[in-house]
Amino acid sequence: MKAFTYSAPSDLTTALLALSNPGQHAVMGGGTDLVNSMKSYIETPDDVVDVHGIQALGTIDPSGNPVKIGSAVRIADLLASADLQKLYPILIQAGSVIATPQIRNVGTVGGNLCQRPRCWYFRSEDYTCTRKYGSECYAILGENRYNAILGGSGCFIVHPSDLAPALIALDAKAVVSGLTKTRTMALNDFFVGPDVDVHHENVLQPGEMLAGVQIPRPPSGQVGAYLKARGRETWDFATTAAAVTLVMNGGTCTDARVVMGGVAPRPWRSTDAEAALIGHPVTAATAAQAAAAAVKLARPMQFNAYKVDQVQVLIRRAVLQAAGVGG
Amino acid sequence: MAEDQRPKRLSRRGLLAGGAIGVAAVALSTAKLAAHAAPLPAQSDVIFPHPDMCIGCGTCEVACSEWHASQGLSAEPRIHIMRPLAGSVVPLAAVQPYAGGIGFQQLPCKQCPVPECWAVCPANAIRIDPKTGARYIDEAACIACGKCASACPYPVQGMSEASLQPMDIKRVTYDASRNKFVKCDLCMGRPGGPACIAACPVNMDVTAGRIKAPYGALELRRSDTATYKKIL
Repeated sequence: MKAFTYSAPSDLTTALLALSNPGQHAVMGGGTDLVNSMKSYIETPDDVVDVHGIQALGTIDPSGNPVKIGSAVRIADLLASADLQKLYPILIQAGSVIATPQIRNVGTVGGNLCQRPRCWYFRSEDYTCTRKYGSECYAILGENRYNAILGGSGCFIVHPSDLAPALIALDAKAVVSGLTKTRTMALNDFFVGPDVDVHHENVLQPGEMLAGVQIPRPPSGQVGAYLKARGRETWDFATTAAAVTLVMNGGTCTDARVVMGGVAPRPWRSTDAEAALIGHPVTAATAAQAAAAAVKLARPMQFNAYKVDQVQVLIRRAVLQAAGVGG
Repeated sequence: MAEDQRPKRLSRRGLLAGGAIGVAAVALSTAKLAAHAAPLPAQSDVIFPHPDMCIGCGTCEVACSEWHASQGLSAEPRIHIMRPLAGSVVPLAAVQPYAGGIGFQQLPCKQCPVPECWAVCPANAIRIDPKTGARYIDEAACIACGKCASACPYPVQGMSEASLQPMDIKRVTYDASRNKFVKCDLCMGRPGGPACIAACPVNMDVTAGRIKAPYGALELRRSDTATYKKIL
């Protein structure tokens, strides 16, 4: 691990000041991903800014519209919030399958959204892959069973976050703070694929950090479900995941969001799947149509074709489960 | 809609004036070709794609983008990987598992012997590299009028493998972030030749013998009439 300086500011302005100093900085929430990344020289910051003690970032404000969740809120606190349990059950479902209780006790919302990918070529010190400013994605012709089936372009990582698909399905916004300005954008636009930036997973610029997320209060009739498939049931990253929210009017779906995790270098929203649901009664047939539409453009590589089938099963089940039709 | 955004109604005077400018532009470009008594520097090199070896990974697009960005030029890729609109490309057996049996088309600039983009450019921004014969755009001189893209006879159509969005552009592409048009310049000045060819993982594996095939997915060829006609 490269030597670094450490600071734990108590307010956001001090943290942003530290981030705007010359040198390479890393923002630390719980540190569960960052420290590992530093050990394997994926991240080599000169300065680590620990934001978990900043009170403004560590609070949940469920009173207004939108509901505000700070980036330093610990996953365990998110899950324990009675307001969030009531308002956004899908968020609780997604949060509860993140890693282990120990990791959820220290890991933060911001850390979960900004964690680096798990691709073993990216994580290995022995491979300087495209994402690490090398010239080759070793997964393309290598061991690619956990890599992307959608949206890969020169790099086939999958985005590892569980919260991201659920939050995008809830139409959440990301609040990005910098010293001179604060930007708010749809969380879906916070993430970028390799066709936009092959070295980063989000739009954060040097000196900026994710300050929190804002979720609109759920419209009447909104239901949702988050389902995750993984290699082992105890705890693991998603091989595929599906976050589905539906707005139901009687038995008919009037609005829908279908977002997949584990299939693309960014959380992958499928408007084709949503179109297959909107305006239709939710049945096994419409759920299957939505699932098929979601992977219409999928292109698996040698060892990851199973994801095409797996994510379809998850979408189908999540749609039916959300609508209370069974599945 | 704001007042200044409303489409202006064309007057007869305007139409006539516009027509006159159009006629003059055509006359100028024809004159440019005619006045160029000496033959154009030959396009000695060209990026030759083998669609049957392409696995659609998009590494060439990324490498193209990165090299040009590192040179302070537009990061818009000059080569595009597309899923064919109609018909299909059958991948060679050697790369079939990776290509998923779908098939892709790599669409680089064909480096035309008499480039129409060059002929129509009113700013003389399209230059010819005397070393490689690459027809390239001098971004500093480009006024983004779009005539080169309109004149380019070769489309880039289909589903972009990178964005999974339908695309219908030309081999000369527009970079909205810089308001410039860009095209393949064969990575002028890059040691080792074009970045796309160097980065292609299929090329690497063919060279290393891991994939047994007679050729890679992209290669640099001497350009001649037969080669020109073979490129999609």
